[in-house]
Amino acid sequence: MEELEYKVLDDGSLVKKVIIKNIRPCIATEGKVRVLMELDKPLEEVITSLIFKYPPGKVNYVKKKNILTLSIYNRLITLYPSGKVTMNKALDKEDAVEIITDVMKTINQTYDDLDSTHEDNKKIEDIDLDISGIGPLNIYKCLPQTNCQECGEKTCMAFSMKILSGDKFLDDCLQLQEPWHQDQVECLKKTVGVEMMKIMGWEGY
Amino acid sequence: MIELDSSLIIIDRAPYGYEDAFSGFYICIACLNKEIDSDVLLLGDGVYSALKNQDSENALNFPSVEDLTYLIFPEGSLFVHEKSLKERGFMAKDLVEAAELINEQELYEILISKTKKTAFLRI
Repeated sequence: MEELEYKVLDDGSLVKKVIIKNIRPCIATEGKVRVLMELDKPLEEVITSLIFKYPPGKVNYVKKKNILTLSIYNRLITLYPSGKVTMNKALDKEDAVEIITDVMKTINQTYDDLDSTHEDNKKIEDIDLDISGIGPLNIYKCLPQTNCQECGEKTCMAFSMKILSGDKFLDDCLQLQEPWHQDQVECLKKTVGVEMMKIMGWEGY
Repeated sequence: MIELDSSLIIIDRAPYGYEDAFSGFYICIACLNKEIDSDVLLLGDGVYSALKNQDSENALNFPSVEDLTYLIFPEGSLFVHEKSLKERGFMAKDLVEAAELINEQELYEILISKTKKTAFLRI
């Protein structure tokens, strides 16, 4: 198959173009394809920071190989240090390009943040955080544990699971906003870090 | 009707000149698209399939097997038999990004971790 090049982000600070290298129509499932793409720059230096741009439940990071898989848009999108990207369950090449353009925007934003001297961004590099180790119990122990249901979930444990999957946000917990629950907020900062709290939807007081 | 839990595709022939590697990867992709766990194991000359920087399209006018190795990860794994690789003079750094180098003990663990309803397909 001939490679197809798309220039999608004219002013991208790291990645601007995507090349479709291979498409495999699904033999067994109609309407789905697997796509192999390559971005115009390697992603080695941004992958570890990109982890913190998505909820933990959407991220699978293979530290040994620096390979990141995102479970987003109802697809698995895998990013390799070389700049290669794979996507499953794409409808067609246009669909794949549309979705990857969105991911490229996040990549570029992450790349820009690497240069930033903002206090919280420095902490991203310093945090030796095992994303795969953050489970619902880690979040739950930092919640008020009152099961008040104001967030729309029956229990705080259910809420913590939805936080990890990205289906709920920390700000949905109104109890956390109260001044007498500051210890819980501090607990979250120590457990997942300020930047991850923002990803989880914490705007602060 | 027996339902298949998983498949392990074993490829022990070099990728170009034989169709085995292509067929093996296509079967793996088909299994994964049907949501059947599937992995590829490269043994013997099959390890050549996992070498990076293959330029078969220009050199041989043949589609690249290297591209297919990317299309099975992350749902499926690509295992490369370490002893086979070293016997052919290659090292881990010569492999595609998604390849997992496995020794004899790890090969054993992979095989016994599969359930009774695993099809072992040697291509």
